[in-house]
Amino acid sequence: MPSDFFGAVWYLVTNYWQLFLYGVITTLIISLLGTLIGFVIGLGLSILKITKSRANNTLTSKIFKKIGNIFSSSYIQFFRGTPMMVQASLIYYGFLKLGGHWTAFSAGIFVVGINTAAYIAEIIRSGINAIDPGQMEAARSLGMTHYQAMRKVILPQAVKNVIPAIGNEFIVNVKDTSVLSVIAVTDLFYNSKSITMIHYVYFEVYFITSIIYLIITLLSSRLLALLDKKLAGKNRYSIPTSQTVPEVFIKGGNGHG
Amino acid sequence: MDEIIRVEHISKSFDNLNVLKDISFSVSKGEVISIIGSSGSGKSTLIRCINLLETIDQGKIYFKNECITDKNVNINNVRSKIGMVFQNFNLFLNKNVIDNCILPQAVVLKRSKQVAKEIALSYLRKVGMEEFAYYQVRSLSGGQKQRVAIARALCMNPEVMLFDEPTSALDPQMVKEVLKVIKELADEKMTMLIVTHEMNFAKNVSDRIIFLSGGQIAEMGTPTQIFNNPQNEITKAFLFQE
Ligand SMILES: Nc1ncnc2c1ncn2[C@@H]1O[C@H](COP(=O)(O)OP(=O)(O)O)[C@@H](O)[C@H]1O
Ligand SMILES: [Mg+2]
Repeated sequence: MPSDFFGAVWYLVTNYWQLFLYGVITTLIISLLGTLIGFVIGLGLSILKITKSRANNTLTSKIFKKIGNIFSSSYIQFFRGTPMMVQASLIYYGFLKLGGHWTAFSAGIFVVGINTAAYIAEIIRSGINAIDPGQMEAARSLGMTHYQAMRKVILPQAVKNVIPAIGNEFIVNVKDTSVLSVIAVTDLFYNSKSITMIHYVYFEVYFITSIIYLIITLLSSRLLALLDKKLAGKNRYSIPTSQTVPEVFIKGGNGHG
Repeated sequence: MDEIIRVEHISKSFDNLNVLKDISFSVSKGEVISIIGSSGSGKSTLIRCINLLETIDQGKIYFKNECITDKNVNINNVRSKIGMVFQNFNLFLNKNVIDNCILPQAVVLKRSKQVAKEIALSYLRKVGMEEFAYYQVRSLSGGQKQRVAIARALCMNPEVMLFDEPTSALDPQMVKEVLKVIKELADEKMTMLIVTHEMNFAKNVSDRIIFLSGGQIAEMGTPTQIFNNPQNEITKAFLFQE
């Protein structure tokens, strides 16, 4: 182990790149799957939360809607109101205590997923609220049910509008996955810590770790910005799905901006 | 003549604001009625009640002798037969032009994609928008959007069309193209209720005019009666300030 800073860094990188790499892969998989799971659960939660009883609903449907409201509100409150490190410990050991078997890795994905769901639920809810009420009215005026209008008109727009915010949750997860070391998930932070134990060098190792996190988050933000730009792109037309419209119609037109 | 809509003594309040007060009238099949009146007089609320987008507090509304304000009526079934066109178009922003017309047909009337598409193209042709079938909605001008919105409503084969200030959000040159489409519908004997500020258009196209003031029908009659010989002082004041 060289005694100068850059020499030591180089030494650590060349000797332990595999450990760093495995850590990065674990961190990325957990963040990615956690965000996806969070999206699916969060979508459900957001719908439970915004569903309101109407005057002409039956009593049972009113009760179910109320239970849904209370459940999603409590869920969101709990996961946003406690540290993920505590949630991870509670859920990991809780499941073991109940007699379940799982690896720290799957527990990590699970915890990040259900934690992210609480944040994504709020993101999607505000996305739904931001949709012009005229969209729902038009759908209803054509005879669509509330559910059909939600599914075919409102949610597709709301989800599309919040994709950048959901991508941001992914970046948050890349960083926050580091707290999973508390249940011994071998993510980038945990592996870095292991490397410090080998030679008892700390600053040099965590210097490398920081650089790696920074590269991942910077790259992810750039990718997100590109995606964002693409989503906001002002395409004048969509690709025709059939041959009934000649090419000239697709190229022509006098659309106003 | 066949009566298609009958509005009986309806009242509607928002909180403490009494927006519609004891309104009654009926609409015959093929009749075109323009609803005029100053802003805030309750025009939008009235036609939104007919489409059941607002619930009324008192009174009854009949559509072809069925009381549609009854609790157990199938609202979606009624709405699919009453087309509505909004001031702000309200085209589905996640769909292109033709899919705006196909979606409600597929979802509500359970038409096959192929049938729905042919019907959509035929109504887009009718409003002069066929060549824009695969355009994104946001790339269209206001007048084009409104014509698509009319086509979308027509695809459901409604028996009545309701228009809520269909040209109020449009630049003057686009007003014409939309009014032309509505005029054609009138010529084909489509039953229509049109809220409008276009007095000349109302005069030309309507069988009857309803003048609303403060949530009440101040005067109702043929265009000649209302425009040339108004009886009510409020009607006169409204028409002469225009
Ligand atoms: N959803 C609502 N909540 C409260 N007040 C409303 C609502 N919709 C309309 N109003 C009020 O009802 C009155 C009539 O509105 P509206 O029917 O839109 O009039 P018009 O279409 O003739 O301009 C107005 O004073 C308006 O502010
Ligand atoms: Mg209005």
